[in-house]
Amino acid sequence: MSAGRIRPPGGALLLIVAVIALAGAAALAVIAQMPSRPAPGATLQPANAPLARAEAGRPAPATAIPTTANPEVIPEIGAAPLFVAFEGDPRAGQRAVMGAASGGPDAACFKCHGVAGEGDSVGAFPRLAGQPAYYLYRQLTSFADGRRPHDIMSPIAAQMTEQERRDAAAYYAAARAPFRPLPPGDPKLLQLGGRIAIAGSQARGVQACVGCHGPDGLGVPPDTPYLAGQDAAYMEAQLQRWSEGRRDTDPLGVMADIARRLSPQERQWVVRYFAALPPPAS
Amino acid sequence: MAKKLKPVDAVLVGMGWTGAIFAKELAEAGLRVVGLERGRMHETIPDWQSPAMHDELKYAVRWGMMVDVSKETLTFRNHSDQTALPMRQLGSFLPGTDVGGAGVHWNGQTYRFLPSDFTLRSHYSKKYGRDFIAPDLTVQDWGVTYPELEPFYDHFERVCGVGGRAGNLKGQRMPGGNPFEGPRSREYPNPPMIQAHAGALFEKAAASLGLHPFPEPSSNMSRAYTNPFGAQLKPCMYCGFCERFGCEHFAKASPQVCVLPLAMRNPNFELRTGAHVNRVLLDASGRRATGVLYVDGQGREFEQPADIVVLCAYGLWNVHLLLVSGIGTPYDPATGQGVVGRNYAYQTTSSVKVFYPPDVNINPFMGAGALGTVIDDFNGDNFDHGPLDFIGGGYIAAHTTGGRPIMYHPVPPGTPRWGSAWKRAVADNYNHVASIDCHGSSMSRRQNYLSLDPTYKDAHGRPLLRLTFDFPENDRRMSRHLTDQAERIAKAMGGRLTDRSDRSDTYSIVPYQTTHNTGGAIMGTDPRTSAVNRYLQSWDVPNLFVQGACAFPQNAGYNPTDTVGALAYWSVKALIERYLKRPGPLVQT
Ligand SMILES: Cc1cc2nc3c(=O)[nH]c(=O)nc-3n(C[C@H](O)[C@H](O)[C@H](O)COP(=O)(O)OP(=O)(O)OC[C@H]3O[C@@H](n4cnc5c(N)ncnc54)[C@H](O)[C@@H]3O)c2cc1C
Repeated sequence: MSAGRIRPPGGALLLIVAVIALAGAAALAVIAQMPSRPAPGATLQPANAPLARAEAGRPAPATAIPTTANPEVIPEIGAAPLFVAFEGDPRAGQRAVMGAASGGPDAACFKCHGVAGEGDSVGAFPRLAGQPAYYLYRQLTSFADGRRPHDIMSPIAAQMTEQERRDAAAYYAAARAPFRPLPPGDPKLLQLGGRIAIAGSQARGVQACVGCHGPDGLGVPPDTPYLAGQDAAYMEAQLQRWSEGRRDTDPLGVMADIARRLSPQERQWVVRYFAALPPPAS
Repeated sequence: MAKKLKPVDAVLVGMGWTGAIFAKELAEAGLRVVGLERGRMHETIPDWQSPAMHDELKYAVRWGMMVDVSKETLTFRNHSDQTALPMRQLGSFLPGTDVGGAGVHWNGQTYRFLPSDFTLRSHYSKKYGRDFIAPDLTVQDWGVTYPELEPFYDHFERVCGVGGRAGNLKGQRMPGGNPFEGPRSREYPNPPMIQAHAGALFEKAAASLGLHPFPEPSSNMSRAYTNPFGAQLKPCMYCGFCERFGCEHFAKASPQVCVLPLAMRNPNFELRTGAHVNRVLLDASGRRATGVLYVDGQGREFEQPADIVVLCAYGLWNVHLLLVSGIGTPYDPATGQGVVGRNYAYQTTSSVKVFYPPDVNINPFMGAGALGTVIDDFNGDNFDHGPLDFIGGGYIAAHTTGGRPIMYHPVPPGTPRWGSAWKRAVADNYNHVASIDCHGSSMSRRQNYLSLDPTYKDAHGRPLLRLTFDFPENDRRMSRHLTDQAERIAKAMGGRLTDRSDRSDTYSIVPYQTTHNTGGAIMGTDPRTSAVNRYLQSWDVPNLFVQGACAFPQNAGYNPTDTVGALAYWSVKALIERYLKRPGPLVQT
């Protein structure tokens, strides 16, 4: 199949049942208001050697631990909707991508992300082809509502209608694009990155990336993006944003925690490793 | 000839939950401590990372983290007139091995027992009359009360980062929690987990029947959490690989994540893996332990002298060690005399499944070990036993612990056991079934006990532990009643069909039930009816402490580990604050 062609499965309507009961958007509504407050004086330490506060073996004062769960933020049993039917029309999405949506030609997605969603490594524009539709939709929503503020993307997403966001997400989810990896660089560094990616880091208290992003970083729909073949500079920038609290699209704060634990060098290693792997929709 | 090592202040046998707790606390109290673990070291990174950890065949089917029964097992029979045979394949329960013990591959369901559970005999006798308890039951009071244990429950729950919702805060009833629980001094350290779809359906049905559903207390993290020691846990991803697996996300409380790093960085503590303890050594008087005898991975024998010995080898193996070491009088069911091996009890489980039509998706794969919605209306003495003919009860829960491909394929009754019709039924039903579990209590009775086997020996030449057990009539009645209640809820859950599995009348050691073996070295106030005092100190050998669920005089309708952890902290506090100042019996007889 040539680059840029779209293959809508079956009919015109791409219907994706986004199963999000637990870690997904249903949880967002409740958990997003529930930032885990770091204990006063807590510093960032690896999870398995995080013992600075246990001075001389004495337990830290009890006040350092969150004691009372705030009743407003406790999810009600069964209150969260368990299924969200995600509907988007890739054909309509194509119009937005090509610049015929509310934002007009200035907001055309293809200018940075490519017609086939191949991305552009020159500007660290991420690859979108074959990312889970629900994930893409959720990012557009987050660009618009400020959870993922971005100079270029936020105004664009804010101009799009709800349906245009769904359609554009469906379009890129269905797209296929060739994979043109950059030269992978020093194999030793790749190996260091691969180790964090598949086994985690004992010293940093960081679990393996593939535990959530799937074997070989191929992603786990509906909500976890693939990393394989993603643009390295883009991924590095995201880790930076997570670590600085400038991206808040993960209700449980897992990515922010991981990004903060890794050193800038380790982040570079791990993104280069994933960037060198073939992505799913190529 | 065993090589004699340098003496230490304390030696710990087994490094699971209780071993890790003792290692940290005793080392911090300034004692030189050695922890001996028969298995190997393993921890979150690199050992428990997926996808390797999600190998269901290796860990769930072939028991990758459980005791190797080709080297060490127990023998089993239902009744004393039978000859016991060795359990050559794991089944009914799955004792752990390796550092962390079963605390690595447990589910994390973290319940307190009810106040009346600790005073079982006096409670029922007072409320329903002396003759209410069946004469074959040897149930008794614990010698410790709920108010005494409450601060230790609270502490262990903070160590584990349990998520839940209090139903009783200092005597005040709290909406949405368990209204029957004993008073808590504080709210849970974390909020409950997000409930699964099956739990939501159960919750609605139970509430419509006037029952009191609440989220299961869980040691799978509902958010990022730092425990009182500074150990950091991370949020659960609901991947459904808890029970029988280690957690790759630092999201399930385990000795390795919550306690052990504190001990490991303390120079007072030394962990020795591949160290299988075969015996506790006694001096000539038989009243003092001098240390333990162990064999390392190369088969070399060592004597580790110590001033204090703590058995932390899991309830069953603690009792075995007492018996092979000749500590305490072995229990004799014929006379009812003796204490070691007495009052073995278990758990009386059953279940009901609800089958839904294809438009109701349950998504069983999005689960966690302790993801459930529960009612406690039929546990303990939370309901009137007056018109009934049994004591005890249990919780009823809709759990969503994982829908893994090999072991999870619920099919409606009448489906063939194999072949294309079975396959079709699996495909049709996989995503449309909710399971309701009954977690019933287990009363000790005169005929159920642990002893040494006269016929079979283990790889170390010791007689195997022998288990003699069948369900007491009391528990069969209790279980039928509990399952009736679960079926009533199941029918209100709006499925097309319900299917009830009662616990068969005779105990079988083959199908998995629970790893909640209790009793055999029970605590109490009288050395004639208990092996250890209320501080888990041996009556016979005061420098020996025995941890774990073997201390339970009978088992309540809950999972044991919150109580095991609370008792460990209660015991170690008495050891440090009282025993060290004045070594000797903490309770006078
Ligand atoms: C599959 C599964 C699920 C469970 N789920 C729950 C749950 O949801 N809720 C709950 O409350 N409980 C649960 N449990 C029970 C829980 O794991 C135990 O209550 C708890 O681990 C007991 O702690 P322990 O310290 O007594 O023993 P363990 O944690 O088992 O530790 C004992 C250690 O001693 C070592 N050892 C044994 N013999 C020797 C020897 N001779 N020499 C040297 N070392 C030795 C073992 O290798 C092991 O490491 C579950 C258990 C299993 C198996």
